[in-house]
Amino acid sequence: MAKEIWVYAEINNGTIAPVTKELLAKSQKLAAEMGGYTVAAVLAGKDNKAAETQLGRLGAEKVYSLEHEGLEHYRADFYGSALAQLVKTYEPEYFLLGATAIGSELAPTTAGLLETGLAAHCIDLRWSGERLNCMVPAFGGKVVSEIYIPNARPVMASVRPGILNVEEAQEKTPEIIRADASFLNDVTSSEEFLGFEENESNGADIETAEIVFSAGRGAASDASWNAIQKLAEKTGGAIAWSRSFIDTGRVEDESCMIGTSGKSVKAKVLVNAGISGAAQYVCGINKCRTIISINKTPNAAIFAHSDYGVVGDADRILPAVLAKLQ
Amino acid sequence: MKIAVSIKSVPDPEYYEKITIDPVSKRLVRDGIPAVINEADLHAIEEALRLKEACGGTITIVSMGPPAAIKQLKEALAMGCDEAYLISDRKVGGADTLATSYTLAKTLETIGNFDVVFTGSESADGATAHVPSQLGVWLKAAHATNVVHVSAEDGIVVTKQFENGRGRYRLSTPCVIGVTAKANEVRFTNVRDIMEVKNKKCVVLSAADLKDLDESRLGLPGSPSQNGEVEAIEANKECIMLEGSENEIAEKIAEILKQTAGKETL
Repeated sequence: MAKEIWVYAEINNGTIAPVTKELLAKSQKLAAEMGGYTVAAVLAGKDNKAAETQLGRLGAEKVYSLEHEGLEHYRADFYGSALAQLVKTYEPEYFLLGATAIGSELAPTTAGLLETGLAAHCIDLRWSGERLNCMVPAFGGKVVSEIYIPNARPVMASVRPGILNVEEAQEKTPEIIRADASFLNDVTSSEEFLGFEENESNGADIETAEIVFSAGRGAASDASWNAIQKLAEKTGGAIAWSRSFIDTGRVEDESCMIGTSGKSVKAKVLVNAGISGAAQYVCGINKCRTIISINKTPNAAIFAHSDYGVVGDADRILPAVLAKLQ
Repeated sequence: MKIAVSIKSVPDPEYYEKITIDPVSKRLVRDGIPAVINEADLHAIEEALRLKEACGGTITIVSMGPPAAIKQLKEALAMGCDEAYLISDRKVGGADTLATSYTLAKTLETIGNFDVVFTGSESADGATAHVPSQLGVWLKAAHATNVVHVSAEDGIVVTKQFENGRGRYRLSTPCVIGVTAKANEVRFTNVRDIMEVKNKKCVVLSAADLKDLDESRLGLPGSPSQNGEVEAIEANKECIMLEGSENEIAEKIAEILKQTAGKETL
């Protein structure tokens, strides 16, 4: 076993995923607490050169780089086989992935092939002095369970993007290990990549925006929705929504959905319009600095998660706020 | 085509607000919360029904759970599935996702050779979304999670949702497909199908019934991951209620937004 913490480096359109940065920074912190551990990034792709050195700037002391034609497009079984073989060769003790769409599939695939334990969609990783406690939300975010993996190695965890409290990592000049990828010539995939269709862009990114307007069931009317769009435009904010808002049929894009099965926001100001505050939703907003919630129901659960509450109709309040800004 | 759907009986998510933690035992208290078929699994059943309509064949429901879960299996039969198997045994209790998917894989292998296995992409209670992939790994089958569309016109083609878009993949059979609620609208159960349930095969299996089983991989002992303490997430903010006229409230909210957005934009 190598005293290494591995972080899967997810690359989208040539860009390193934000959660990879978060995990590298977190791993540096954990490595210091655990003592004697090395932080390594794992890259799998057709051409990794550009990302290799960047990962050092983000805190990786080592980069395991696996290059192969078959890694041009993500395929769960092929990527899973690739990572599992790397783990078997280099034997890291810990292996962390971002709980992105890819990571949430690649992690259980790899853990399954390795027959090891995996903690899913963690909101924090804590070193107890003896073991890594992976904090995993369950029952729609109502509770958080400590999951640990006592014997099997590597300990694997997928971690939700945007949720770790981490400082910038210390820059490193990484040792690049070009792993032998010839074993992949013998791996057959049972899936064929047919194509990718990008989402239409819908303004500011909810995960990084400083101001976020979030719509719930109580803000599905034209009056609220039009006001939210204009407010976002006026303030440079992003527009997000709850699962219930999707259910109203006004939108269908889950990429702007907040919650356990959606995204976490860390805005300086979050405005919740017509959101009730189900556990599934509120676990995605607890990193926001100031939360303002508008709801018609005086005892709506959302108020207990808010700094400012308004008992009222979003259809009337939002246009009034817009008028004040114009 | 031999189609299977793996379903899970879960505590009804409508009641998750009522879940508490016993201060002494530190265990979850979820008494009185009714069990339902996991929501994504209903969409998996719907997808199976559509595939059967398109290609012909049979639909077999499998599930792992306590004997009471037979009720959810019968509901699945009432939706139009053909037969159901529940693997229920003390030996499989306390399983993590790896041990659960192993047990389900062995159950499927014992019952027959399936071409396509559908399951919900994730469960409402644990929400790990591990089972579709790990079921695929154990069955040495193609697998896909987070699937929002399935087509059988030119082989099995699935559309998977990613953050920045949707990817399409053709899967060879056998395959395991983890379906999300976006994949389809679940049909209403019709009376004729409800009447038919009593004539359909609904079997409870124990570990002893499973072929080629390695018992060391079952249940809590077969689970590499373990549960430590569980804590409730409680809301703890002091919420200041804004009162006054709509105009005054709007003024205050606008003020907070202005401070954050800065004067350059407003």
